[in-house]
Amino acid sequence: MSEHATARAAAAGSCSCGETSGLLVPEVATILDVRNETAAGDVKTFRVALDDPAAAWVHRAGQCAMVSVFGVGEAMISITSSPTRGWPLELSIKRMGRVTGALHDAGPGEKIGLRGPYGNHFPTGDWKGKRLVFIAGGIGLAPVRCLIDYCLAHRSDFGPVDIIYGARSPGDLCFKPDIFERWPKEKDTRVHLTVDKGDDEWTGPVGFVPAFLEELGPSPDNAVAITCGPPIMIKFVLQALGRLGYTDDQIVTTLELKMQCGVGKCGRCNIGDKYVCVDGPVFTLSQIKKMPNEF
Amino acid sequence: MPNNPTLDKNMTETETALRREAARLLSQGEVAVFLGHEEGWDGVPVPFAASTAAEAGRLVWNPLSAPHLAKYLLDRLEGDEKVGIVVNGCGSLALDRILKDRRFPRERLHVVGIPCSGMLDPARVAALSDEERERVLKDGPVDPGLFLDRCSWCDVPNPVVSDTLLSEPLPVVRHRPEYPRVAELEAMDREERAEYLRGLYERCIRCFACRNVCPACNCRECCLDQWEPLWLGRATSPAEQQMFHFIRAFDVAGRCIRCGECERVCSVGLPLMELNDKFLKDITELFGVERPHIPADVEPLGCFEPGDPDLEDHG
Amino acid sequence: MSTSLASGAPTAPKAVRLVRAADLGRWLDALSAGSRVWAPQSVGGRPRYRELTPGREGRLDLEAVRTVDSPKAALLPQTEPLLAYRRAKDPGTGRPSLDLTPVPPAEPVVLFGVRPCDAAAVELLDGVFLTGDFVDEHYKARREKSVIVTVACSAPDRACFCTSFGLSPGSTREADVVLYGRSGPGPKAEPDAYYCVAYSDRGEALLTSEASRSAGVVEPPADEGQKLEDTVAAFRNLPTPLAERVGRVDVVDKLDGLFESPYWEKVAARCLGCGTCTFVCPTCFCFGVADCAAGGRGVRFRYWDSCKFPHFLRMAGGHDPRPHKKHRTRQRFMHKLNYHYHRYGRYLCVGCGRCVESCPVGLHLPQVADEVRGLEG
Repeated sequence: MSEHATARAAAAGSCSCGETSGLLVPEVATILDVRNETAAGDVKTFRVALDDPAAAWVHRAGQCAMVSVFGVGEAMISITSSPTRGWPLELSIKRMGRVTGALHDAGPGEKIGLRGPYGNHFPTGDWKGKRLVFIAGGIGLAPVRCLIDYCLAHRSDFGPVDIIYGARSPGDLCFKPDIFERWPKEKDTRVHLTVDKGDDEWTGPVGFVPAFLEELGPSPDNAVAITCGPPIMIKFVLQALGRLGYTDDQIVTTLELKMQCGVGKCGRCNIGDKYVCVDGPVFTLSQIKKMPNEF
Repeated sequence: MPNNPTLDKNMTETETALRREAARLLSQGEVAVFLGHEEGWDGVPVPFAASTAAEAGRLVWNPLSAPHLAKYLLDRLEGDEKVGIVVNGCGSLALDRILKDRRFPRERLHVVGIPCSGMLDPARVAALSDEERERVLKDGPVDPGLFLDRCSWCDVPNPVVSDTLLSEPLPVVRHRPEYPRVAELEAMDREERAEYLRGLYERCIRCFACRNVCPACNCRECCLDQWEPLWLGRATSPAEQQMFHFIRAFDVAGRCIRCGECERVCSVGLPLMELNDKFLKDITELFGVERPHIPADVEPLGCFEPGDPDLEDHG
Repeated sequence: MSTSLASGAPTAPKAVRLVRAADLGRWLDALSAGSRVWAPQSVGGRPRYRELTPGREGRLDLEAVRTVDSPKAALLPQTEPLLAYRRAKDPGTGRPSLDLTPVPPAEPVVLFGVRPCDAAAVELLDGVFLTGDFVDEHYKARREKSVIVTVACSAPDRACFCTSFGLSPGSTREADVVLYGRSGPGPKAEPDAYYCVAYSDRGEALLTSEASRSAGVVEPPADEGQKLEDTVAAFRNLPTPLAERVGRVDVVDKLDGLFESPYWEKVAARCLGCGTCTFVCPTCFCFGVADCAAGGRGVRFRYWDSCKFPHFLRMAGGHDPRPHKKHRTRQRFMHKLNYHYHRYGRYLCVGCGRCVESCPVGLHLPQVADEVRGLEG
């Protein structure tokens, strides 16, 4: 757990108003604007700010926030914008269920609840001088984008960067300004895009991410692979990385489970004796292999 | 006309026959699993799924084999393996409920039937002193109050569904069901009844044991579990619990087999059969069905009649 | 509240009093003047642990071996409001607004007539809600204003197995005050009076208060010192019937290798899939959070949820890591006997016997704990 979360926990405990505030009580936040990421409109990026700027917290790459639509519920969402950019935060959300559906129906100016930051973070401190290979599929780029931007903001700390990203179709690729314009211009950074199925305008590679990854064959020497995406993609990406010679300690991914409290109290998101909300969402493959297969 | 439940004197022989038959079915591959009872830790039979002939040796059949087993079929919907199951008279009504609701294919079943003259209520027997309990279970005589409520009016001693019968069918004396517990509910005025029910449902802890044990509660997904739409709020309150129990009572109305398992498993002792009995009584009075708890191919609340007199009332 | 989760040794008494059984009602009335009071009561023919409410059905039942529901509801209510919200739109500008109102502060509460196992369960709840990187302020507020008055068990019944977890019918763990029947333990004990022993400052304050004194909570006769010591020892050394069969439960290492065991299929084959065991359990703490909405206003609350329910882990989009009863049954027992131990160094069970008594199909923790010892793996 980060020192920021601990500090927040301490701050919440020292509430001097005499009333019981609490761990599960969010701050009021406002949606500043909404950006459609995909042609189908099923992924949107929300820029949000707290109404009380004094309550703002600093997250670390990989951490999440609990987002509330009052009257509907709460959902744990990974923070898409890099900590180096500060507030407002960006949250990229796919329409999946009740809460994400209600968020998609909300426009700029809408009030929501926000609490966090929760969970561990990517261990960037251990990656000094290493080559970074990011592998993402679909909306799985959301937490990785936060990390990529963090690493690029500290560019000299890391070696070459490869970003391998795929989606079902060109219209399903998220963060188009980043993947087409911003990231390819960064020093020693390559973006490799693929789609499951192309269209009339698509001239790039066509194929699934795991096969594309193996084709590109990034060397495991002094490298770390970070992968995030749909479970089926992750499954085959892990196998591909193994064949490329990556050890389990060199592979980092994130897990997602249903959550209610986000702070290790509600007993919901356990995998064995680990809670994804506080012990995750970031795990190395060697950590995951020690857990029961129940996620 | 009340029934006079008695304990079958030949239960030990029946138990031996049950083990033999289940072992045969399992070893010859006629069924992949056999649903019965084994002895629980406190000696009371508990549901058990035997999957080998050796495990069939653990099956028991005794005066406390009260739990019905048909509901467990819903755990085995996946796949196409055959399932063996033991039922007595009322247990076969539970099974027939699930079959009539088309929730499990008859062709995947092998039903072993046991004619039954009465079963004791395990909780009532557990409350006896050790000596008294031993006497009751050995050779009786047994206080009629120790039997399950459903035995006191049962007129289905013989299984209505079976492939094998382990003993000779018992004589059947049909009688018209009576609903003594409904009278009090009907005698209350609206406010009294609301207050009475509020007091009941305030005691409910929402564990859903009543629903989970009920053979008529066999929906693929229970509306009480759904989030969208949210039929049942997650906050506990007498009003929410009333909603819960009313939804359930209305949902099983016309399909309730009057087994009383809901009441038996309720850890806070709610008299849940009162409402079910009220509906059964109403069905008799409104539709002229004498034994509305017996599953039938055509049931009054499960069919449409073009000549329904209500149609004229509503144009 | 103990500061160390590992402290099991009885602390020295801070005050000793005596109360006649006939004065208990008077004492509870006196305590009710300054606090909410929860106590075991007979409701609808069953022993329940609930708040004493004037006018509500319920009769004090201090000698019930165990209440159907545990005292955890006094500290972790089955439904607990977390905040109220109001959403509106400015009629002029159309601008949305959102106001969040915190819930009122917790009120003092006396948990009266708690069984020693249930008091020990509070220590486990404290571990979950008060330790780690986050402290649950809602729980903490209630806990800090609670006083636990335990009544030592005269006659543990055949579902009792607290001694399997190192507790005893006279355990003082998390008890501010313990009542010991003056006639000592025994199958037909109907004590005419109770020794009241305070083990914490809070307990001492309660026992020595004017309210207690005026309700008949008095100094015991000076020559009963030895008798008190003997009585306390007799309660502490009392065996529990089911523990005679189960023995000391210590299966964490064994279960490390049993996640994939076919045994869980057998257990699941009997489970009804209801939530009785989790809701009557004094240590099950899992909860959900939901909104109760009416127009633009509503309340966010948490509510007890159960890992046995099919929707517990189903995610938006339909993925469910525990789709079958087998997974959910395994989760409950593994949580209690393995996962929680790894995380908190304690088993999540105090041997109260509620799952033994209330499970509709006799599927309970002591049997599972005993059976896993014999499994291969």
